[in-house]
Amino acid sequence: MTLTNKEKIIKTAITLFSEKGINTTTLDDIASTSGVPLEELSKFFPDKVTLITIIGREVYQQNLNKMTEIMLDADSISDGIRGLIKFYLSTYETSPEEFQILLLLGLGEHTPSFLPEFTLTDLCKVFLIAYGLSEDNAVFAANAAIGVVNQTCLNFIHGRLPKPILEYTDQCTAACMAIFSYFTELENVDMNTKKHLPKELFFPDDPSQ
Amino acid sequence: MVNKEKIAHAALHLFAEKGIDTTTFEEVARDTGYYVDDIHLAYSDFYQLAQELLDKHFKEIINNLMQLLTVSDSLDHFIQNLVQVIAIDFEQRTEVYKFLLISAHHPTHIMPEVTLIDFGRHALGIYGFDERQAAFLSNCIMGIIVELIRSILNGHLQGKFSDYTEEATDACLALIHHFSSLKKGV
Repeated sequence: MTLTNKEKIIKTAITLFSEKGINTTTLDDIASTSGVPLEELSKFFPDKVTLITIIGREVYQQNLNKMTEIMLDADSISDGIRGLIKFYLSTYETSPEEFQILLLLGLGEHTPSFLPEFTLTDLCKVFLIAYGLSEDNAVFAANAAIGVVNQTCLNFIHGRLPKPILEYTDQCTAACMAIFSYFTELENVDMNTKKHLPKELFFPDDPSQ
Repeated sequence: MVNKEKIAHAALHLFAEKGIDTTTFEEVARDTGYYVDDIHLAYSDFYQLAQELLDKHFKEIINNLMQLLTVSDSLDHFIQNLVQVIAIDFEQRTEVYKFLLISAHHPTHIMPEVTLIDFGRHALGIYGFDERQAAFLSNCIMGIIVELIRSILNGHLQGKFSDYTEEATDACLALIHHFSSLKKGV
């Protein structure tokens, strides 16, 4: 299968971003590694900001869409968060590069302006609100839970958590549930009843949904 | 002769604002009033300087936190103190924390000798958690605290760290209680 030049650029950019970081990768690097001349690359992506915005966000958005589906199908909060964590961690197995981009963009590695508009934390927040948690507590609980997951991923990449990453699914789920339980108990929210979650909840501004 | 302290001070601010890789010798020269060549003589690249800064600030923060172990009379009390001390320190020295956060994401893994997570593991070990549990629990607690800092810096959370001290403490305690109940079950 031959790749078009645009596909080559995207593939190379994803690899270089995860190897060298988003900050240090230049358009020149991508051109020379992919073998696509810089002039042609510039036609697709005139500058790095455009490139990161298009590629990084596309990777992020695709993965986020899949995680949103998981949340929509969940039978309970614990089912939803377990599915989300399992999916997030498994991207490392399927594509370590995409996993790194997901993590780096989610952490706002570059500058805050590259944070996707709707992040994993937002997804988690909307999910908790749908189950009846107040906005204030949902914002913090989602932030703390994604903090646990991100920190686990970061430590894994740094070699500080030695087991295969998917083996941390249960522990991360238990940790997130301990946080959620604390806040839902405060508010007497039932975490286990399946709620019908309307799709618009997660895609408020997207007319195609 | 250049004053290394002065270079380190200027570099820290630049690292925190724009990252380690994008900071140039020219910018440090501009902010210190030194010649680029003189800065080059002191530091061949900025990674060594970043590593030095990282070790220095982590040591400071961890020494500070170590004292909490002696003044806290229970694990819950220790966690309360921990969150509070980090909240105050972060608000007083936001630049330093911005820099530490940037280093944590750096792909070449400029790593401090001792991290906050190592400290957390040590502390939890003292309170009776086994090695494996302490490692993961410390990871989670620091995850909560670091994500709070990150979200305040990038505007995802409104307000100051100290507005969330109580929630952060409760979330950490919820984790600890969950893991302690497992510990007793064994």
